[in-house]
Amino acid sequence: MMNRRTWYITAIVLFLPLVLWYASRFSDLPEMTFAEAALEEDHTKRVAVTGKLVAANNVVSGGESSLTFYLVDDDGKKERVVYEGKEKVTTTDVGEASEISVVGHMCSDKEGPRFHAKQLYLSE
Amino acid sequence: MAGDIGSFLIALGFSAGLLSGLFYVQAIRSPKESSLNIARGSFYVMVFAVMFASAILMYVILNHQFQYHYVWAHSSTNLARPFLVAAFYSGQEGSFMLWTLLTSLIGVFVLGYAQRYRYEAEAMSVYMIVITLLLLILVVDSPFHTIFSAFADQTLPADFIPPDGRGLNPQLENLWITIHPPMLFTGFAAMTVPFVFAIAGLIRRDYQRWISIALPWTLFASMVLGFGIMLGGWWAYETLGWGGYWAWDPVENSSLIPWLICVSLVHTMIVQNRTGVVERGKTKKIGGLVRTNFVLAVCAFSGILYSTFLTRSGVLDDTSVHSFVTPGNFVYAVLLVILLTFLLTGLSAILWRWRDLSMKMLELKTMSRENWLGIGSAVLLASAFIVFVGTSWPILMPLIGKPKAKIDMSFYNNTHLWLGLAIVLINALSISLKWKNTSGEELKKSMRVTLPISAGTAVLVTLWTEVTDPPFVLLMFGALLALITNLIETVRYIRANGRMAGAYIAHMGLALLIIGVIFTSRYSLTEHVQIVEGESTEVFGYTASFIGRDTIERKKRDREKYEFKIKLEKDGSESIVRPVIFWSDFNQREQAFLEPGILYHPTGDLYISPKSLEVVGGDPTVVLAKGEKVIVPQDSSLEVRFEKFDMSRAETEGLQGAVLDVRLPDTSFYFTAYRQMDGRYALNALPRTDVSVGFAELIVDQEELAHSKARIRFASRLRESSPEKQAITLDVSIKPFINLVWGGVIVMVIGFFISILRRRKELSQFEAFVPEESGRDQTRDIS
Repeated sequence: MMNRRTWYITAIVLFLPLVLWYASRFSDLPEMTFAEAALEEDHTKRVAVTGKLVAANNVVSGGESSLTFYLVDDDGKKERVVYEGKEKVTTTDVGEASEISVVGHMCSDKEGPRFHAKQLYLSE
Repeated sequence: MAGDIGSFLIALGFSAGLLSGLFYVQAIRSPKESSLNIARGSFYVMVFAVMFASAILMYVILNHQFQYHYVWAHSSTNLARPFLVAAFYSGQEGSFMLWTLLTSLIGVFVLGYAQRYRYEAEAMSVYMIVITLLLLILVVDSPFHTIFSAFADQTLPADFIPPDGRGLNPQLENLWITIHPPMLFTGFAAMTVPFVFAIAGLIRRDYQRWISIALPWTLFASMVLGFGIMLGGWWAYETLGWGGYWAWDPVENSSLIPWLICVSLVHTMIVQNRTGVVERGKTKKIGGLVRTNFVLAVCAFSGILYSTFLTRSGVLDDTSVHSFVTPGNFVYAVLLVILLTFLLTGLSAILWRWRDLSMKMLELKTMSRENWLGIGSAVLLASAFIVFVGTSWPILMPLIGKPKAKIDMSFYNNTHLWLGLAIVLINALSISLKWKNTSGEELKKSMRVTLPISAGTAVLVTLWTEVTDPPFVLLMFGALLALITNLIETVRYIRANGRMAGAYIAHMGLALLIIGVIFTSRYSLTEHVQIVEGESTEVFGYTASFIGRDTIERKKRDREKYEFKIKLEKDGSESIVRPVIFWSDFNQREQAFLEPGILYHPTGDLYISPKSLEVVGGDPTVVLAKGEKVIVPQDSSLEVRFEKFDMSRAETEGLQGAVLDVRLPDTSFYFTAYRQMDGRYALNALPRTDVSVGFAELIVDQEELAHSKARIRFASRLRESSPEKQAITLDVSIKPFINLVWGGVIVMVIGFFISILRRRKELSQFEAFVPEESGRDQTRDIS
């Protein structure tokens, strides 16, 4: 028979990861590929796509917090990303990142298809 | 001048607080009356400095001294007196001032209390550290900074005084603001007391007495903080117009977490109090859950600091409607340091005494009340942890390199459906059990009445109200079982000794609250209707007519505010509810503020939330995004492209403009059509054409303002068009038994209050004839 202390410890050890796993199912930010993001019909819904920068010397700055670059996702699909967010990010920051997560949504209008990002997460 | 005195008083308070803390620490090491006198004197200097600094802040607000940045940013000359008083704490610096003031004032009572139970040096030294760190924030982030210093990078003259202030957020201009934040901050301040007595207990190696000393304060903190949280719910329900009272917003949650821990602490303290023995101020036996109580006291207070960190640090930007503006790196760092200091110091103090605390675990009988109180506390802690994880998700994700994301409300709802059920069932069971041990027969006997009555009532309620979802039926049964069990105990104790009934009354309040939540969350009904002025529609058996609108608060030039009169008729009786839509300079009139109209009824409110206002009838309209063009229906040779919005006249004249690029076969020109904030607009002739154009509606894209659209109306000047009318779009909801939510909270507060009286009385009995050195010795289990 386990004593009360062992019961408590067992319950805590099982409970903590269970809550974290369950919470992860309710995140409002689904992780997708560019192809999946393009199929998302609700354009107000944010999605996250993670990938690698195509060419570090091809990052174009369009102002203080505006950048354009190309990202290739885990499926190998290359997409133009236009970042317009609150955080100031430099071309060097993006160029030096080993992996980039972009948060926003796919757009397709007269300027052509692109991923409109409002947040960038850069991995060293 | 006044600001200089205020800043000086804050600095004086900080210095005096620091001095008091140092002398109290000195008094712990070597308890001399001279050290204590200096500590007490410095404490009172600190209290008076904080009181006078607060009075000066109130003075400069009431006298519209806009040379102070805080006064300019949070008040204006057209604010009514109660809202000027509320401006005191509506911003970041002022809310820290209020928290410091309340902590200081509560400190006066704590000082007398600690002296009476010979805990002064230990308790007050910790208390002074808390107040001093709060004062440190005020030294850095003072409400007395001048406009000149706040905008030092702009070339303002040193004596510049703005003619008026920016004013209060108009959504805060509601009487609830005069009650909700002070109540919440009183709860925050009171939560300091169990923490300081816990640490003082560890310093003194007194592991039992501190429980009975801190218990009344823990009850007080739970009562006030819980009431403060629910007042926020009332406020949201009556003012914000989204139709609910609880949205699991990170800031609501961050107050809920310490409250849940505090309520859990109350129960574990009761277990230790019940299983331990203190006689005449001496510990005879240490009760169960000793370490749990120390850990929970530290966590409850750290929860308050975490709540402050979440609210004030700006880390929840984009995920909460409550977050204050980003406070600057230094305040962010100070908040983080304070949070970590108290959490780590508290936990270190427990580890420091770990050997003392490693006594044999008190074995509680499975079928004893104390065992189930402990289990109930664990469920409350599970709830606190779940809310903590969900609330902290936007912070946790970036820490592991993932994008910032928030958790959907259904996470909390799904988990708390079952946690709520567990809580009410455990409550009913624990109340049905005896202390120490209960035989099966005794349990059967005590539940012989409550179980069938609850089951029968649950069936009747289910049939009557059509509550049919199995989890909700179960929760309803559990809540009714808890309600009836506690009702029987309440009646029994009121006859014998009213003070003993507090806990049962509080639990009845909880059960009523949960029943109210079941109805309002699961069985609210909403219909989306549009009513044209002068017409009516059927909704939930009412005939709702839009009979007109009144302009209100005309004297306030910073807003356009309209009250819409909706007449409701049912079974021969009629009432008028008045939802409100207004535009304010506070947000440059970019987005309307919406206030609901409520028809109150004992069995359920009819809640009418305005959504939008538009003009219907007349000529056809087209909706255009920026850059889109259209061939004008009345003239195919005419093409109009929507260029951009023009808000240059919004603030001064209340006009929104849509700039149109008009192209005729031989020429083109720009033309700006205007509309007023309340939806009115004129049709203006396009030069060289037979067409008139009007800007009928601005369709705001909340996610991206740049994607907002314009509804443009074209009319032929050669043909007469049909008359235009206003139409209001409403969400009409039935909120069944919402009064149980409010009533439940009030009953719970009454229960807490009676419990405080009981514990104070018990404490004076335990502590009769307190010997000089009581609690100084190590009070291990000596039974």
